[in-house]
Amino acid sequence: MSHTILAVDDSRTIRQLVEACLKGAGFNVVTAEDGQDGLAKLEGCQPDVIITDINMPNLDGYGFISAVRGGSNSAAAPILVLTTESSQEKKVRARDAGATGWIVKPFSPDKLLAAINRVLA
Amino acid sequence: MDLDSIKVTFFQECADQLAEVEQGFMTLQSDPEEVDCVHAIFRAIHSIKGGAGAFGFTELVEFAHKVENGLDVIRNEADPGRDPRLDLVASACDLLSDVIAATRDGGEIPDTSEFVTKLSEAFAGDISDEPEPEIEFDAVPIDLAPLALEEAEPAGTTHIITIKPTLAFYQRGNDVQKLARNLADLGELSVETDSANLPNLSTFDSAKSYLSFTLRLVTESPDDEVTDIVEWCEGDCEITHSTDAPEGSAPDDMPDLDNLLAGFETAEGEDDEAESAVEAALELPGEPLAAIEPATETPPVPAAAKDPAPAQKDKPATLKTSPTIRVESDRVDRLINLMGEAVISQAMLAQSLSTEMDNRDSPSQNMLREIERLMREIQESVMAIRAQPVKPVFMRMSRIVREACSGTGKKAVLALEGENTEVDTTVIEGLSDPLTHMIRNAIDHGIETPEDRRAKGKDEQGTIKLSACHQSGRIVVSVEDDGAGLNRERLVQKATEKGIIEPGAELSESEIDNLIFAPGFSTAEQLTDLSGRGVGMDVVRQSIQALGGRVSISSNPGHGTQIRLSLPLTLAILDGMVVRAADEIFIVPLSCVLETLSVARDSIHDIGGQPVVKVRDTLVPVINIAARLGFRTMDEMPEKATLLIVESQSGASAALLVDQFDGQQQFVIKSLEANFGRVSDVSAATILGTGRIALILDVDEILETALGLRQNNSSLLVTERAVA
Repeated sequence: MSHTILAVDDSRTIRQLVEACLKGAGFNVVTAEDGQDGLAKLEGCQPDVIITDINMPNLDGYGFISAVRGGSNSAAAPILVLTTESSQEKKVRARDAGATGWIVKPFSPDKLLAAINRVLA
Repeated sequence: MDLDSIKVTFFQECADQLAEVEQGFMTLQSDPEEVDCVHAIFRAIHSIKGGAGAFGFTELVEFAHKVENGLDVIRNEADPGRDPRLDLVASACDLLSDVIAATRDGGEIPDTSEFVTKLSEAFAGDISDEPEPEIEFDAVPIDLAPLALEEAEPAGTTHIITIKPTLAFYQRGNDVQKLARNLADLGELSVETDSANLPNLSTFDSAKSYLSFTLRLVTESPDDEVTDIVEWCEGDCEITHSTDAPEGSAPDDMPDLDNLLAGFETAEGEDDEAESAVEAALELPGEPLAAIEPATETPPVPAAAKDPAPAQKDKPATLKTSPTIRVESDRVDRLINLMGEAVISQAMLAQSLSTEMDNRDSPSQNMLREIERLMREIQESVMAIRAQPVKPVFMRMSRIVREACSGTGKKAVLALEGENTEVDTTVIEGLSDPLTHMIRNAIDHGIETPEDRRAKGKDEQGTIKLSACHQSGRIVVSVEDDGAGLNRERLVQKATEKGIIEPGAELSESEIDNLIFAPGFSTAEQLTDLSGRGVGMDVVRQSIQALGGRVSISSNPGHGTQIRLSLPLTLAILDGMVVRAADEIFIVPLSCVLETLSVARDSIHDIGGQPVVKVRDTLVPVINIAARLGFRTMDEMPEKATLLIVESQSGASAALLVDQFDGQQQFVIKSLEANFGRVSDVSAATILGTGRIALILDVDEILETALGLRQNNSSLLVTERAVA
């Protein structure tokens, strides 16, 4: 059975890109448009990997990751942060919230797949 | 991957984001305390940048980045809503929207250098003049001096990575196995597990991590590939990797990767139970783990991370709106056309059935009524799909206000009211240009200079109020300014000069005000760059009329001017009353009909050549429709007069004289202008159930011309004139 990936991003463009790229690589993809939505979607799927943006309305990436780690059914799932923030501080903050790793935008399918394969290794 | 379709999404999304930005600036203007708006604006620009990056729109990314940087500075301030630099950022966002449009349409990207400089200057103190941030990974400060092993069998560099994972490492979804597998992809990896720290079972704490690992990687891959893999775990665990591989540091008996992994699955030796306890603990979500103080190895947590997203906490979890789908308007149009055809067919069916059987309670008649009901509901639902709030068009106007102000040195803010009022999309599209023109006009000619306003005791900053509301089946949009009002003396003088009115003509105030809509009329002393673009308010009037709308103006000297547009909610369907006159069938829009009367012929009197009828002590002029449209002579009148009291958009009323009513019904509007040509007194046509074509009367035009009125005259005036 193919792996399921939950992609959380408030940008429809990025959601579509991620979805197209991951579906092309044979993954099941569930998308959510912000942290709140992401938490809601978690109830319906148990993703093997979660990819999330940081800057989002309603519940941002840090809050979302903390919530996932803090008691969702996917507390142990790898979470990758998809971010344009390349500053070390942001990465550290994401990791302190519980992120497994990060993928730096601009979005590239190769980078995305490589990162996912790393956590699915 | 179908990149093109995603590109379309990107630009649609940009439009949404820009609307969000406009909204944010508007809200901040009226309420600087709304700090969330600054964040929303930041997020929108950030999103645009992110998406643009994916498509390699370099200019767009770079400019968005500049804007974003400024916003980032502002949003981290104590009082972001009052930062004076917000205006500059707002203007930069206007330019950004031009850059986006140019990128989308493949046009020439506007020059952003001026704004880049301005932004750099404005935020000079806050942003270090760093170049574009590295979009690639930052180099992680890990000492990885490569050292080629002189005698090592596999050629390459040796990296020694010691991992002593903390609990947090596992909680973050990291995994030594995976790390090892990733590293093993790069070269030859050997792993040593150190279980020396494992305590006795009695003191074993399932929430702690005891094992540590030494990974020895020999690889030809560049160092940064190794760094990339380890980077995610840096800080989570004690990683020391040195490329210095002392002789014999990798013992021959080091278990290979497969053994290690096998060990993970089954745990090692007598610690079987402990190991599975660890695993069980790690699997456990939530409280138990979170409650326990992280193992002492955990690096100190930065203060910021302890309170992730404080702003989000107060937000209710129920911010969800109902899900939406995006559909091209063409598809909806097709559906609406089909719907129209279905309505016609159903009317035809009803017609043929009613002639064949008169029994109202027959099963077929009942079914037919049921179908009618369903059709109406479907039609309403379909029309609702097309209905959109006017907000996006309204939001765009704040840019117009900004630009007009900077062009004239005046100060004005835009205030919105009823921006969520919904109307058919075609109407919305058609509103943009007239509104733009009216708002430019209001600032150029209406709002006074700040000095003048101060002298008059007004607030330096003028207000342009843009509002929308539903009113008797139409949408009324009004643009109101608190400026000087119209200079009527000047209007009359101009109109006389231009030959629009006869010298010495006596005009009411509202007639004078409406002169500005006369073709070729321009009040500006000198054409300014702003509103004098070769089009006058008559163009506004024409474009509103093309939408089936009406324009009226009212002005209060010294206090401002209000222009009201009244538009149909949809351009596709009309509720109308079927009337007969001289064997012709006409449709009168139901929204115009006040009441219907049947009177004896002799109750219609002739006063000064104008037929009138007395309705509850008021004399109402009578318009003989058949005669007016040339189907009868003027004196020919039916024996029994049937009257429709109708009211025009401007408030004038009259009685339309017809032979009989045939009930009311919904009609699919078929444009005459598109298929045939403009016909006076007729706004459009429709197809009846019989398949016959009927004309829809333009009540406003009929009243205006038949009564010799200009717009906006009250019915009182009409009656006075009729009597006079």
